[in-house]
Amino acid sequence: MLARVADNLYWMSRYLERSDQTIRLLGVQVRSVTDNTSAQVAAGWTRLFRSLKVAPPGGDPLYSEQLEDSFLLADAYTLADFMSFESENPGSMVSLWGMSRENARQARQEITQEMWGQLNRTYLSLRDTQLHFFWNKEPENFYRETSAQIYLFRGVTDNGLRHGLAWDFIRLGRFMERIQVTTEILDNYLPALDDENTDLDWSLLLRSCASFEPYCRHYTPEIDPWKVMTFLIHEPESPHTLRFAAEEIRNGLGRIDPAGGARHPLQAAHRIAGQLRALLVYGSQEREDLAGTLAEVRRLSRGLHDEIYRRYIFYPADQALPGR
Amino acid sequence: MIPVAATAAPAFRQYDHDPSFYDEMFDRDGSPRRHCADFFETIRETPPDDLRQIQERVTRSFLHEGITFTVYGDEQTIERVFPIDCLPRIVRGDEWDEVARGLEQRLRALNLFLHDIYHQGHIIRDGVIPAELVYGNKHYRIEMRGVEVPHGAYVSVCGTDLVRTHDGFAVLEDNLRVPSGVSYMLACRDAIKRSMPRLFRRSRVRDVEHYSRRLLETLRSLAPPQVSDPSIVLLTPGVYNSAYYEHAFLARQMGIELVEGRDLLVHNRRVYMRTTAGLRQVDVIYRRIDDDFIDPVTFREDSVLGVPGLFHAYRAGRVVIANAPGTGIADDKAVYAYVPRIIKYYLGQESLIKPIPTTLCREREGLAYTLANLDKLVVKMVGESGGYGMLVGPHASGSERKEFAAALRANPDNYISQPTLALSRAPCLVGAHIEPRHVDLRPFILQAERTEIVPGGLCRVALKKGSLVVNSSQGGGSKDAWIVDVPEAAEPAAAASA
Repeated sequence: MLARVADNLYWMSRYLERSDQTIRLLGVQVRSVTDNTSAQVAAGWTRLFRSLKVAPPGGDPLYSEQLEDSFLLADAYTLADFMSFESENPGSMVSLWGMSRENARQARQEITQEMWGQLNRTYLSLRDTQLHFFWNKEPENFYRETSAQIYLFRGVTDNGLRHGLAWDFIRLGRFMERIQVTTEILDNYLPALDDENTDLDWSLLLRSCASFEPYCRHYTPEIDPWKVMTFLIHEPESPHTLRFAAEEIRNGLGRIDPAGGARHPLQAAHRIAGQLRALLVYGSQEREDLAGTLAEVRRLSRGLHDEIYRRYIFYPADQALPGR
Repeated sequence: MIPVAATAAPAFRQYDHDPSFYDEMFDRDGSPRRHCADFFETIRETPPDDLRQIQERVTRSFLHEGITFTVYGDEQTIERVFPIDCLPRIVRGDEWDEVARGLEQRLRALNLFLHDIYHQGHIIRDGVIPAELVYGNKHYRIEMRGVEVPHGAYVSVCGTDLVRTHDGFAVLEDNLRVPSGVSYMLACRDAIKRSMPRLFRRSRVRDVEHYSRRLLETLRSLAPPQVSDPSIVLLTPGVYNSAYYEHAFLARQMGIELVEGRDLLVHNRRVYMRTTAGLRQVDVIYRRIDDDFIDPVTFREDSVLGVPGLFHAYRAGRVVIANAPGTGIADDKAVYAYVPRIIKYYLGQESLIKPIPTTLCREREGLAYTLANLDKLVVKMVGESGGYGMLVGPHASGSERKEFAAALRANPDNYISQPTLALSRAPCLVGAHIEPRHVDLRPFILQAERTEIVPGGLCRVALKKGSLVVNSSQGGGSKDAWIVDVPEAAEPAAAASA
């Protein structure tokens, strides 16, 4: 497959995954408006913007400590609108869909008509939607339904597209984005872990990571902050944990370039993917190592992205000429 | 005047039947032509609201499919849905067969012409066509002299614009460079089939779906003989090109890579594409980029769309480019006037499709005649396409004509003129009513070892009332073209139920 097209597919998938994360966080946040105190709601907005690394409208781009207070004053409608439909905000749900669609358009010969149709149709309908259409009626349902469109896209992808290189790059993009955003979400919950006075609702974190039900199946609906944290990092069978993503990334790279992960010397991307997986499978699960683990996941996943690019997308031509 | 048979049909109430134009559905006195009778009956019995719904479904399917084009305005570029009309234009099978023979003849002669002018130039030495018209033409590529192309197929993909008048079909323009529109033909057919499946099946329409397969076969047959499994790519200028949808569509249908200039590189006169698994050699390039832009080393040096060194690889025979560079000379508006003579010269035959009488303004009498009859003629700029640089005399205002006359006098070599044709009209859905609109037809001809013409084409429609300009950049749309075979003894199927 063309390197440029692999790049498009990878980003199509990353933007869509990011949109999925954004939609889910927004859904959780609008729900918490009905369940939680206003201080909790404000803290929730702070975590949302920090996790997605988006500067809030009119807020301090440096994410100062006073940020939390300013969210007490800012109204939820403005914030949700900014993250959902503001076209000037590259991190809004609509912008992310738009970028995903643009990348898909440049890779149309590699994706199926159904995939394009699903992506394009949903984008067009989101583009023509406004927050006030549903805000006073059922905002949470809107976000759930939009989320369902992404699940539909993935279903169409998994069942219609040949599980070859294109599929591998799409999957790689999804899990690269997932591991990075999820790491940021977890990082923003870290301070609350040691805070005795917090009244934080930890089920929000599970819902933010689409892992409430998997957690309840594994443990019980009894929510224990420490168990929630370690579950989301180390659990191997739930698709939204860091460990799960690391396994997918490593397996995906193995399919994209089987020799690069098997023959000496290993390709740099394969080495890093292996380190990432080893950290999440065999690494320390002690309380004092938690912050370090998250920092290391962040560092490795960034390095991995760079290596994937250096090896498969923007490699220097003279190294790849035949007969060398 | 309203067609007699249509008076009872609410949808046709506004149909202004004018016998001075050939009507694709009705004969001179307004009764439906026999091969359209069944279709007409069905439409007549369809409530206007249902027609509108069909139209909406068809348009929506184009939107969802992403069939849009970009209009380049002065201030902004806009992405628009390609307008499509849900009522097909219906052409009788035997008439089509005759047209198809004419198209094959024409392209064969033009390919021989191209070979000749890039080699010995017999036709010029024999005085059939003036030397300056060929060698002085900006589309003549001196770099192509002496280059051998496989099967002599300089043009392997051609999209000829045909119009119909009361006198039959005529060629308006040969598009021999990078003709586009075939994806709209295929997408149109797909949308129509889904929107009126039963009527379609009953109508015995000839298939067009195999176009992409035939195109792939044509491209494969161009590959260098020593290559057994050629690697074929489609070269696009990129996502900002107005025909990008088509490029992606064809690449997907043929299962070949859609590449941009930046995906390719030339090393040691071989062309490679950058894949995730390193560089891979390319054997055939179906290019959808103009000559000027394919290689900045040989042609325009400011081109960022092309591939440096591509032309050298091509001359060395290591890669095939289709269509070959330099074919623009043969669809030049001035050379057009000579095509009947070209056919006669190489094939010894009369042109099967009637030519449109064309006046060259480069000749003194031609210029005088054109200037004197500016209000009756269509004047076209040589070397322009897409409906730009053109004057439709009868529709232009006095000041427009005056302005044009000045340009014409300043540079007569640049213009030709033709009589304003009474382009045929076909029924189109306008709101809830059916009205006649002018149409043309662009069939697609493939030529390498063999000639292939899929029965049908892109039928372009001038959607503005009375307008003769069908280009999508100027308010044109399209409709499906049905080539139908009507059995000789068939009863008019008026009573057939849907």
